[in-house]
Amino acid sequence: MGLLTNKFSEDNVIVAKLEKLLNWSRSTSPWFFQFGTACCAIEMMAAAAPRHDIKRIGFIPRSSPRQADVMIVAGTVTMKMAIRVKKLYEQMADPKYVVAMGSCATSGGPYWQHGYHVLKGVDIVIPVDVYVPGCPPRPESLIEGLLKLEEQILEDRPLTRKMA
Amino acid sequence: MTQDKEKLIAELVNKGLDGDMDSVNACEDRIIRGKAKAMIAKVNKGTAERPPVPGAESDSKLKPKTFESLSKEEMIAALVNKGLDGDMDFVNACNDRIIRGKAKAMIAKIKKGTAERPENPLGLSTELIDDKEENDVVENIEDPFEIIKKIITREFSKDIDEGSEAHYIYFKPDNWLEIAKWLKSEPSLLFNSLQCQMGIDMGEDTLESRYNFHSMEHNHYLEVRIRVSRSNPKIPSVEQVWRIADWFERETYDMLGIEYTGHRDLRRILLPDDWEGWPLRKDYQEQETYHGIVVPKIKEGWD
Repeated sequence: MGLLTNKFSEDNVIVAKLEKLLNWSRSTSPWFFQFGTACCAIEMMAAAAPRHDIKRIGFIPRSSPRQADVMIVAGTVTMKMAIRVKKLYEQMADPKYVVAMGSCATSGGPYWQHGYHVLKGVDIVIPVDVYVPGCPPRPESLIEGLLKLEEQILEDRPLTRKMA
Repeated sequence: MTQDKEKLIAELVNKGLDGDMDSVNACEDRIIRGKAKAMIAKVNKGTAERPPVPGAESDSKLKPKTFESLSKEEMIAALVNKGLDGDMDFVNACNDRIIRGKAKAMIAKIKKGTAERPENPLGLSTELIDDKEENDVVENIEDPFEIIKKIITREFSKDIDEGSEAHYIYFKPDNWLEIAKWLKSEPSLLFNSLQCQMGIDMGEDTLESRYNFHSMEHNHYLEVRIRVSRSNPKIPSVEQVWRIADWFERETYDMLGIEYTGHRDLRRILLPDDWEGWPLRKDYQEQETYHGIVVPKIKEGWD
């Protein structure tokens, strides 16, 4: 609202495309699902803590998948956890996005060859929008990834019928 | 009063000259302490004579003494003598932790040769002489593990498996629960803490379950190993003896498939319940899929 404060002398109207307006509001408040599977979650917490403060760019942690738009898969996903991750993803309301944070969530990381129990990338069970490399990525990297996600959301066409 | 003080000073001087400066320093009266120290210095220089030990005559009349009636130093001396004669149970049965510890330290020193054996304030009792022959086995062994091993061998010689070496004992699995209960309750062992339990695949169809014990009471350690075959990996559970073994055994079961019979809740602890195979066995093969998710070894197009 800061841009428009005290700019008008009378009642006024703004003309915008409905889709763009929706995307603008969605991209500036993508609430993320607060859960972590391994050490990357520590960096995610650091990103959410005051020094980096991803609430500035609209990312607010929610404790329920029903209230979340974005799932940040922070850390190693084991086979046992893969089923749970999939279930949690299915519990989230559409439209929803996934950020794979760190080497493990993108490719299995250090376990990609010999870890019999590790899922080799969370994209095997759920669709991923943004991959953030690093082991673990610093909060800056995560913020970069989240800003990329915001750009993606802005280009979404949620109201337009998809062509087959 | 003055007589009492003189007595006290004389006593302290004697103690100090015998090397026990601690009890001189422990004297709370500054004047008495100072006088005693001055006298000790004089006696050492040769300018004064050592005073007679007060009460020495009356003490000697009190025979025969009982152990409880002794002073702390005498108690330690008595315990040291008992211990050196092979009666370590008597030493361990002493309730005062400090006295027991000091006596044990002294025994170790005497065995090493850095200290001399004190006089036995109880005298040589007939009872001790009787016990001596029976305990000959334990006598004169310096390594505490050797003593533990001797005690165990005396009780369960037929359950000890071959391969027992310097600091561990191999047991056969059949009688393990009974041995475990005994290890925990036997007064000379009292292994009340199971510090670690783990499993190893030794190859050649052998799995091993290992237990590390520690006794809070005696501060000694023991490692127990049990061999089983890969085809019949059954070991009695000690979960009800040491409660910590509950999760230890579940983990060993999870990773190596050693079945702990008698465990009340033997489920996998880390892997999901419906996982196939035992991952830490040397012949483990990964399953192809898990709940429809492929378990690929290498991603396509990667190398």
